[in-house]
Amino acid sequence: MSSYADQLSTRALTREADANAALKSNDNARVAVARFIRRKPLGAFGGFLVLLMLFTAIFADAIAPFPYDAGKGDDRLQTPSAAHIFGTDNQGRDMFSRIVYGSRVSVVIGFGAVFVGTGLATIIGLLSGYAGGKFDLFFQRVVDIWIAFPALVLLIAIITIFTTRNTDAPTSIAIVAVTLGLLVAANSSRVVRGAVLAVRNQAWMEAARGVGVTDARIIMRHVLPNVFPTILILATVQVKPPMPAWGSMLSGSGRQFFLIAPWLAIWPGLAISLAVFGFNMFGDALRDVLDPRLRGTR
Amino acid sequence: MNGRAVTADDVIWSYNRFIKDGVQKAVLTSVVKEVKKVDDATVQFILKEVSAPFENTIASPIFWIMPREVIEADGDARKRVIGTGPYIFDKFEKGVQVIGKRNPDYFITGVPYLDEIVLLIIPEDATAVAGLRAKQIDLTAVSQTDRKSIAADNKEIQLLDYPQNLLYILYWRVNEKPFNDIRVRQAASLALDRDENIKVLYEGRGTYNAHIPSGLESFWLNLLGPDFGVNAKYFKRDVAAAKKLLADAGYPTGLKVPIISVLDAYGNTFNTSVELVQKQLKEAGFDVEFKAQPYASYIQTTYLGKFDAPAAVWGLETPVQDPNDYLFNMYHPKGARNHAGVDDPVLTDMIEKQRATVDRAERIKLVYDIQRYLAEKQYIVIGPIGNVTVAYQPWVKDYFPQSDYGRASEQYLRMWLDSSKPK
Amino acid sequence: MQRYLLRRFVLILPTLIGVTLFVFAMIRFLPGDAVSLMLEDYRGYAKDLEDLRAKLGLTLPFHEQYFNWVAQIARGDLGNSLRDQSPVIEEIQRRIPITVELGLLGLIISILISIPLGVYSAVRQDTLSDYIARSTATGFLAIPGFWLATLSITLPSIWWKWTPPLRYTQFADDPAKNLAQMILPALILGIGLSGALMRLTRTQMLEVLRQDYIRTAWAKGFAERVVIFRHALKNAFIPVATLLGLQVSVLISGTVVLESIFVIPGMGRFLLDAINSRDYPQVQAVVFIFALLIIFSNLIVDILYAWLDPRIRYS
Repeated sequence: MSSYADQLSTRALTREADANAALKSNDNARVAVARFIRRKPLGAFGGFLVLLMLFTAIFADAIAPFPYDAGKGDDRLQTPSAAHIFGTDNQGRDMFSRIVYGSRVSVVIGFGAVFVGTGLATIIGLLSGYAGGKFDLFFQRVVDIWIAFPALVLLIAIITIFTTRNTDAPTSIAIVAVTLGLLVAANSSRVVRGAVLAVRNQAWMEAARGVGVTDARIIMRHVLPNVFPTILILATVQVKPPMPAWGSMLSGSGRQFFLIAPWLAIWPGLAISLAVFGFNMFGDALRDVLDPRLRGTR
Repeated sequence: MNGRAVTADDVIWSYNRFIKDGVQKAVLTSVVKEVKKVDDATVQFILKEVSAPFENTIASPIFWIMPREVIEADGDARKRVIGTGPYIFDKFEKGVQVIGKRNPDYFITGVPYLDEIVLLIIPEDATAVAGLRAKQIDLTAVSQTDRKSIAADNKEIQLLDYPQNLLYILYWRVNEKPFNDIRVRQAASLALDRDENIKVLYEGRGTYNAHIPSGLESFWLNLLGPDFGVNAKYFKRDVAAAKKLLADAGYPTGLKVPIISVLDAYGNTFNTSVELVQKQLKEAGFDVEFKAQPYASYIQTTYLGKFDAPAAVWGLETPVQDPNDYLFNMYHPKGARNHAGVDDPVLTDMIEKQRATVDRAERIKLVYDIQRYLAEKQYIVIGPIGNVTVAYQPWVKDYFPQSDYGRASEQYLRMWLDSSKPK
Repeated sequence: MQRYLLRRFVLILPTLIGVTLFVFAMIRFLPGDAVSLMLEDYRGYAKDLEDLRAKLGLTLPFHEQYFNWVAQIARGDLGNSLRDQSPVIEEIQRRIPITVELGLLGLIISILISIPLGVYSAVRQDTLSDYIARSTATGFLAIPGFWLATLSITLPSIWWKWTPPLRYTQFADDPAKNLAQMILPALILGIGLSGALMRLTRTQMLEVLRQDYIRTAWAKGFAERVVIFRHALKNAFIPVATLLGLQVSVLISGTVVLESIFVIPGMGRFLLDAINSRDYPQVQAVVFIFALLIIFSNLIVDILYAWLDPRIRYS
């Protein structure tokens, strides 16, 4: 019996300790977030936008009131109303639903390209910058070839070659993401290498051997946010209709109809701008907070 | 031409050259036996068989009459610009402009009226429309959407609408499953919502094409008119009937089929049509999966009928000037653009018969019959088409449009500008 | 440094060979060819197409085509267009100055906007001015260029019945008219570039401002302006220089849309048309020229590094 009582009390104690620990770390997180919001309001707003975009992309099916490809010609170009809060497009489809579904393409292509691009750029830039010597020379020639190739040619070529034969929509989106990643990587690897060269010989840095971390942040910050607009716009033009993508909505029907139905351009334009803005501001703030040398200053 | 008149010898020499060396000599060698001179201003073509469309064939924009001395001196027509039109070539800057000056020796005296025409090369529609609004451009073709906003904002601008001989086509391999079954093809035609297409693609300004485009007005049989007969029903959307036909053909739960099209060549309007057609087919029980093909490979493979069944293709047919160019090329087993692989002896006879019928009224009747026949067979399903609109400034007078491939300067033959044109 | 430079110059050759080989193979790998595109109408006679291909030298084996082309380039001949047989060099000579003009104007505008804004923003980190400056720059980044261009050509034509001139005039013929046409696209280009530049300038400044020697300078009581301009900016400029070097590639191929909308006959549009019509000699020539431009601009960037930051030694 006593052993049972012991067990009970032990269990209760453990539970209490768990609860305390959880409470404490919750508090820490809450405090950290609150501090982040107070000190970096723009960054917090950016983070909110990024989260919103992710949330929309994941739960698009639940959020969108209509399918993205259903519409009647008779309902085309309706102004925003209770039934269609963002209005309807030139084919009578609900604009709000299309914007909601459009976030998926943007998220996949955006994150995919950034992932590929950042990864490659980091590896090449760091290797080339640190190793120096012959290795650097050789690698930089490869990057030279890569960079000296006009982005336009590469983009068209890769997409043309790989989408000729029976590719389905997800594959084509993946191809676009990787292609853009490749384009981004060449250029960004130069930025990384430049940064590495600049810090390589600094004594305190050599001692710390912490340069890699810093550079990764530089990349995160400059590669990710700066290429995002290009990615969103260039990439989404390649997405096959009727799958909606913000870039193609703006450059296609948006541009064609904005004089007689401005909302066809306003919503995708706003979505693009907010996404780009959000990513940049969030990235900026994260960098400012995370970088050890910037922490606690001003 | 270069100060001398064009003679029969030029014509004979040029056609013999096409027949001998022309890249597309087969167009001529299949019909022409001999080209003979009658006198300095008359040439006689002796043909292997009767050919009603022959006038249009030799006038097609690939056969230009060339002066012998120039070609013999230069080796080809590349080094000098030569011509006989109302305007004399003055200058061409790639991506910028073509300039033509008035031909004072034009064979019709007194025309043209304009001293100079400048054709600006403008890749973007939005720019051309802006130029029109800003009075930098006198005349330009506009889309139906732009037509609408110009009509609303710029009431002074004149708008001229005319039909075009362009065909939207939905094709497949007719000798392979599933489209070897007439019911499946009819179902696809019944699935198309032609009214919706006209509304969405052309702001409601367009016509139904039969298998002959409405732009070839005298040969086109109006589907909505009283003469077409019972087969006109296959052009009217009927989702229930389409689903029933599919079920009868063995696809009660719908037919899964890829649809191939092109998104990088024909512009916004066509790209929108790609979405519409997918949606309309889906609604009628075709479970379509879209595959985009780059234009350069499309034109070399799919367009020539080189694609794997089962697949449906949504595309555009090159506009030509004679009904035979559509019928023979697209539906005759020897046709150069028989995308669907059609080989129907009854149809082949009908096509050859109209080709051999010189009497125009008689030939029109035969072409009408072919349209009624094709409406039932639906070897290729045809979409509707919108008007072309040319918008021009209030000071532009007497412009005559021409829906041909070469944008001949004859459209500006009698054009003149009144004094209200700002300096 | 001299040895380094010499080696870099020698190494340009393999890079060029790499680029040319790559482009040569790549465009031939694209589906479709110039001949089938030229004869898309009234087509269908396979024999005739093959004859024309043979005439244009497209039926030769790959390595023969490549060596012929390299030999041609060595003689200073960039070849003729497959489509109309016009010498490619003529077209490029006409278009290069246009693209360079547009690019330089855009670059100048972007530097004028971004460097001062970036420095200011870094010095006033996390103040209202910083927020405003960064939001503006990010706003620039967030508006697609093609959209700005469409608006800026359409709206004035409706409101004031005005557009920039649509008939291209060369700078030499009429500078005022030329600039009237170039200024809007240059502004849009510059605004687009300045977003990235401003943000990079800001980070680099922040980075440099934290470093010991700057703090020392500060502590010694130098005036703020002196610290920023004499010490910090120079160091912060290193990655900025890299980005500028890389923008050369963006400038020459990223202006296609602006060229189309503002009817400017530059290289971007030319390249796009060449690819779309599979005009191999044109694509090869343009890529070759671009490669030269980019290689040299990157070399300049590397030399700039050494000049800006004496700690970098090239051995």
